[in-house]
Amino acid sequence: MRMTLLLISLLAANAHASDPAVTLQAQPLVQKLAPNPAAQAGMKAVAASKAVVGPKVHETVATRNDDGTLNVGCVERPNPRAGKSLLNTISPENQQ
Amino acid sequence: MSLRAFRLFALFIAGAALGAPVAFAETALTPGTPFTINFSANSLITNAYIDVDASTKQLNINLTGSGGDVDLFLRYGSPFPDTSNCTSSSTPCLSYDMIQRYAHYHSVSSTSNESILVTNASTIPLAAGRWYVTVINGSSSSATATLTATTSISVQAAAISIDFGNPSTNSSDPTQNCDVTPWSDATAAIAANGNPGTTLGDQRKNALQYAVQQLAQQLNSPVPITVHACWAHLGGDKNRATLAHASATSFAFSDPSFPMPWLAKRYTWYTNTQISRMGGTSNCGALGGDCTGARNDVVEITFNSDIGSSSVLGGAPFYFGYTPDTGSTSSDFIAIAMHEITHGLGFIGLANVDPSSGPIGARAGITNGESSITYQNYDQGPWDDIFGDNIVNVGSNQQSYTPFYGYELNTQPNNAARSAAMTSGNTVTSTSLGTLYSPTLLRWSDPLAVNSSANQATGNPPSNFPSLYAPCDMTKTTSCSTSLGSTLSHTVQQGDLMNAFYNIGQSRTMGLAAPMLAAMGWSTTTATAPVYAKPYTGIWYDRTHSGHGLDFRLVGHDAKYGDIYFLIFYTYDASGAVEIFQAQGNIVDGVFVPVILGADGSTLVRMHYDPVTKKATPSANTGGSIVVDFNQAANSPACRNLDRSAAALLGVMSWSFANSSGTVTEQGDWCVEPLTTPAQNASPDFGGLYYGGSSDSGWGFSVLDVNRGAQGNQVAVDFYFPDASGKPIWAVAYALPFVNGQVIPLLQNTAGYCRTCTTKSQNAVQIGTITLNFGTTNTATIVANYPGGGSFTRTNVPLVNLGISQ
Repeated sequence: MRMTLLLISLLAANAHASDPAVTLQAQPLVQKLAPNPAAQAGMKAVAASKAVVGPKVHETVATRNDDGTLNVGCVERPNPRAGKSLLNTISPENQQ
Repeated sequence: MSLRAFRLFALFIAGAALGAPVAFAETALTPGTPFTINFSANSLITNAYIDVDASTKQLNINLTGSGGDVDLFLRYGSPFPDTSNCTSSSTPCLSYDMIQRYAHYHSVSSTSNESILVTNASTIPLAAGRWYVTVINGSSSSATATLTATTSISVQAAAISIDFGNPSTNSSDPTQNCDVTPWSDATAAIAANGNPGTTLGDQRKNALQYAVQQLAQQLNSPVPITVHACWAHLGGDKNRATLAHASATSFAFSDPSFPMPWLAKRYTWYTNTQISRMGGTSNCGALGGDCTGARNDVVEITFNSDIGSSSVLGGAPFYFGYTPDTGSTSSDFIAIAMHEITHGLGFIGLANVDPSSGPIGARAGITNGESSITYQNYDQGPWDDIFGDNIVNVGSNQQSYTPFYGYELNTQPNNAARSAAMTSGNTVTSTSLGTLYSPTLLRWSDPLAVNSSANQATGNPPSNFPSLYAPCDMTKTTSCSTSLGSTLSHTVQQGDLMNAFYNIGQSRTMGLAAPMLAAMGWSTTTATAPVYAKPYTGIWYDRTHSGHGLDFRLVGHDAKYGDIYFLIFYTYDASGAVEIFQAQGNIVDGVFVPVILGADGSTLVRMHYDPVTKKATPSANTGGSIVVDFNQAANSPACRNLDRSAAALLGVMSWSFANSSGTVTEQGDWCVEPLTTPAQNASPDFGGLYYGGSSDSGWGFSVLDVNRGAQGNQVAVDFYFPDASGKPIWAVAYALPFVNGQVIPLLQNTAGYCRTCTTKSQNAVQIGTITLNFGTTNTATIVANYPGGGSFTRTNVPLVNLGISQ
């Protein structure tokens, strides 16, 4: 194993000195992984379960006045992916 | 962990023969030179490294591969564990879990193409010294991957990309459709106001690209992100219509089950944009999964394709000009896009605003197995969010303030206070410039924004804290406490990009949003290295699991791997009978990360005692695992179910047991704290973890020696010994005042309650005695009787103390 490591180091050093584009084919130290707990698949399943859809999105809403001008504001609504109805938000007010 | 330390542990717990030490695997990476690695199934290479000097401002680690599923891990300063940790040739010694817990950064997509970028502004900043790389192929297929490290003396800003493709439909909610055909609408348009597009589709695309360019230039983020650009029929009528909506595509938090150490706050929600930005990796790199299609888009913005039709807002169109819209009968597409995308970058508070989802102001949690946030399930949360973490509630006197998310009890969430603050902005004044909101009681406290030139608030704190929008809709209710629709995630300064209301001629500068985002992971200034918690040696317990506990004993220091601890978990089984598990490991950045002790890869093991050899060996297939995270534990749901504000330090002990198939059968997150601090101990302190030496291992006891003032010193003993069948059990003994040589009753609880059972009162009975003599030599005489006959006995046995001083 020591010899393998030495060989890798030498190969890397030589590659750098002669041709940076050389792709090394050395077999690095490969160690057996413990099967449990939390092997790769298990840990990634945990990660996937942690990434959740947000509870709400912001949306920009415009209301039109009698004179045709618009009032534009940003409101929050609950997570549409949860199939909920729009919040009874306050109306956007006059543009400042 | 050092070999010496392992020998000590082995003598105490197992007496196992050590394998020959294995060569330490460190391989230098030359900047810019590809390094190809061939992986067999389920294999890894540890501790390739690159040395970085003080002039380096950016480090990129890239991995391109084929086959398998190769993941990338990066750590600064000290190496990952390697095979020198092995205690025997037959026991696996490295796990995916262990490597991830050592890593400061990771990239773990489902592909074999990974990348990590670290700069001097990263949460764990790029610093001079050695950066270690570990690469794992955790799949059952072989793989080949090329690893390349590059460095730069400057930080290169990255673009915000737009994904104009990947259409989708959502039958249950058409507002979530992603129609991309409007981006190629061939309707002729006149190039105007800086936008050179000559078709409607091109003008739309140009305007959105202009919007993200403006944001990218102001953010200067080195991490590329992608925005998914969509249209949908969001409808509307002649009086009102939604123009656009947007969000980060997901949220997540870091906790012991899936650590992301680069997130400054544990147990705290971040958007995936912030997670990618701070982690220097892609969305899939940070959170797993594939990176194809829209999967790697971290923000999705949807514009209303009905805008411009005569039935919606009288046909009022979008304005696509690069210069600000000065009209009042159109909607500024660029300003709207910048505002909405900024929400997706993390300008969003997650405190509940929907009374049908839970109390207004409630923290966001998640129900186990679900994919949406809930505001009800306190067992699976709730957690703070990083936006709310920067907010304070200002008192009505305008002079005092408290954290928006303060320390409180799960059973008594202080939602009312948050709700009141979120609806405190009910004073409106008309000015020549338009509507002006008075300061609200909901303020942003982080100094980056407070001290920013963009902040218009003045005075002493909290008067100079920028107000956040906190509407109180008095027209719909008689009480602000029941008002709906607090938006929370907006400023009130006129002209701010993130003001709840758009100005005519809205500017394209981020204003306060820039320093506010900087406090949430978007900073470009040099960061300071994080400081991690340092636990105490001694007895630890969870106030909600009285009778169970830990001996958490410092037994060594290692230059490479930090403090070495031995952990004994004394607890009860499903029948209420006493039992013990143990672990050993290092404190890695404030986290107890155990080594593997069991043949099944378990880190929390039960030992089996052999009375002939007087040694114990790990039972097969314990399936146990344990991690104790001492960092920011007070933020965790586990520590919020009881008032622990008086605790000297808290830790979240995450433990689990699995069956032989790997299915978890029992698990918990316990909030543990030290029974005493070192300053409370006696002098001389006879506290320690004692056993009978190399020829008499497999039993032992921990001693807590406390100074009780005029009462003398109190000694508390947790005695660990095998029962008649060789299973480890425990008993306790107390003496106040303690006198050398006194005979102390050994007590055992005969009616405990299991780890997941309801607490019940103890029923201790005497099972024997223990006699201790501390001095130049330490000895013990023990008689511990078994209920069915027989006993565990030792007479004047010399003791070895594994513990060392803090």
